[in-house]
Order: sequence, then structure tokens, then C-alpha cells
Amino acid sequence: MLTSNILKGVTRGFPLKIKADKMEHISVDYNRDFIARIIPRIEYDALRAAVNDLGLNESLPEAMSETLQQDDEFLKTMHKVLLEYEVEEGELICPETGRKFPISKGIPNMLLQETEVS
Amino acid sequence: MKLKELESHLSHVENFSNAKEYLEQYMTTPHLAARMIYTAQTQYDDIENHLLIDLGIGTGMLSIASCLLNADHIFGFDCDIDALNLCQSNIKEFELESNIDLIQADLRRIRLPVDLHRIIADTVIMNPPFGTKPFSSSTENQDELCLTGIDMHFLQYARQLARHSIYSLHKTSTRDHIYKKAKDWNMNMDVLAVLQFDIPKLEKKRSNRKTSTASNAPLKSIEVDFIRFEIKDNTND
Repeated sequence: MLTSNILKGVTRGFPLKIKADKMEHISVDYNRDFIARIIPRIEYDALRAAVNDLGLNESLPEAMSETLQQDDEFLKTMHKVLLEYEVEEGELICPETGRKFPISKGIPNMLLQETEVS
Repeated sequence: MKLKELESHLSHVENFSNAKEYLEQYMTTPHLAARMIYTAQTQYDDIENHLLIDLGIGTGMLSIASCLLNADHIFGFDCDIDALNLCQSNIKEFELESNIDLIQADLRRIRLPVDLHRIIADTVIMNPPFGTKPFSSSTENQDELCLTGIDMHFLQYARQLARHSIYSLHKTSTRDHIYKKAKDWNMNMDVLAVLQFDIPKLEKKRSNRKTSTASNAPLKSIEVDFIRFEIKDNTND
């Protein structure tokens, strides 16, 4: 899940929508310091949108305040959402053009066709 | 972790079985990777607790080394699905699935939207192809890419993606050219070491280039600079 958040930010400049055909729930050791370090770097709105797209049963507050970033419950939820959900098969979809980028074995394929490169 | 220990762990990273000549694929050796990342951490504190990007991740050698030295998380990019599959298997071997994420992308083709607000990696690490050979795939900008060198292309992306520093390898013969670019792109540049590199000697004109592999090609020795670039402008707007 972390990748899709980053890609939303970097590759297209605006959030890509995400669709999953196969999701995996994995168990990852909770590292509070790591989560605390990483959440200020996250595009929070994009992450909430992804959680929504995927219909995950996790509730993320509308905004991420300073106090929230210290809250253990919130950090644990962020840990789950960022690290424990993996889209194995699915798609990232450009909201502007509808162009679909397939995700296979957890790897998004951002390769462009010759005709797409201006 | 000591340097020798790191190098020893990295000896378990599996190499390409069918390296693609036209992509200039070869594995960064455990010896070199260990020294690059060990230096980046012990001398500059650029690895531990940081977010990294590995451009042209290949076998995953540099990223695995970085995780062993406690990088927080790494995003690895490569254009070749076979390399990415090998990388994934190496990542599994080291149990680093939740630390390294892979993305398939072609840095020759993407028009990266340069949005400085979205710089997300502290450090970029890479062993880019050197572009000593012309590409056989037909892109409209092929000539341009051959002239500028694919490694400069990689460096340009690295510059857009890094918040603090970039660790890269470039041919010593291009050093002056790179100094100029670094200056233009507002980066400090430090040549940390000069190395003799043995890369598979790949001839320019061969009809079977797309199918031949580099694994059995004779080796050619070139001088390579291990360079650290430091981003100078740290504007936070």
C-alpha cells in the first residue's frame, strides 16, 4: 500500500485510483518509530482515497493532526494500512485519462507505449 | 554491522542467469555494494532510518545492502520484468518484502512531472547503465540518448527525487562533464573512490544483440567513479 501512495504522488502528479483483484493481508512486526517517522511523508488524503477505493474496513480520520501523529491507536492503524495490505493483482487508474496501469505480483507496471510518449 | 559481515550477507544475492545485453545488465558485486552503502552510512549517515530510491534496482543488491544497514524503506525501479522477478526472489530470500517495494518503469520514456513538492526520498542509490553502447530498440530520441548517455538521464531523475543525497557510479572519463551538470543542477559533487570495473564487453554491432546474453561475454575493464552528490537547495515550499 505504501507504493501506491508514493506513486500517486510521484509518477502522475495527482492521485491514481486503485482497484484490486487480489489482495493479501500479511503480518508485519509493528515498529512504532518507523511509522512515526514515515507518516509525515505520506500524502494522507491520497491514502484515505485508496483505502476507500479498496473498500478496506479501516477508519482513518479526515485529517492528520500533530496530536494524532502521536496517538498509538492511529499509528497502529497506519501500520496496518501501509504495510499489511498488499495489492497482489489489480490496477492503478489515471483519473484524467482512464489509462490503466496493471499491478501483477505486487509490482505496478508503469511502462508507457511508444504512442503515449509525446 | 561490520563491513566484512555485510559483504558476506550480500554474497547470497543471486545474479542474473540471462543478463540482457541491450539493457547493460550486470550485478553490482557484493564487494562494491557493501563498500558503497557502508560508506554512505558510516561517513554520511545517509542510510539508517531513511527513505531510499534505487534507480535500476536490477538484482536488488544495493537495496538489500541498505536494508541490512537499517534503511527505513526503499522504492526500487527497473524497466525489465525479468530483473524485477529476480529482485523479488532475492528480497524474499532476505525476508525484506515489507521493506522494499518494486515498480516497473522505463526511465527513458517517462516524462517525470517535476514537482518538487513531491520529493519523497532522502537518498537515491544507483548503479546506472553507462550508455557506452547505442540502444537497439527504436525510440525516436535514440540518437539523443546515445549522445547524452543514459547515466546522465538516471542522474537527472535522481536529482528530482532526492531530498539530500545521491550515490552513483559513472565512468571516470565523463567526470568533467558530470561536474558541470552537478553545478547546473545545484548539487555538490564528491568523488569518493575510483574503481576498476569489469563489465561484460559488449560489441556495438551484432545481429543477435537482442537475444545474446552478457553472461559469457569477455570482460572489459573501465575506470569508474563512485560519486556522492549532495543537494544544495533545501527549500521547503
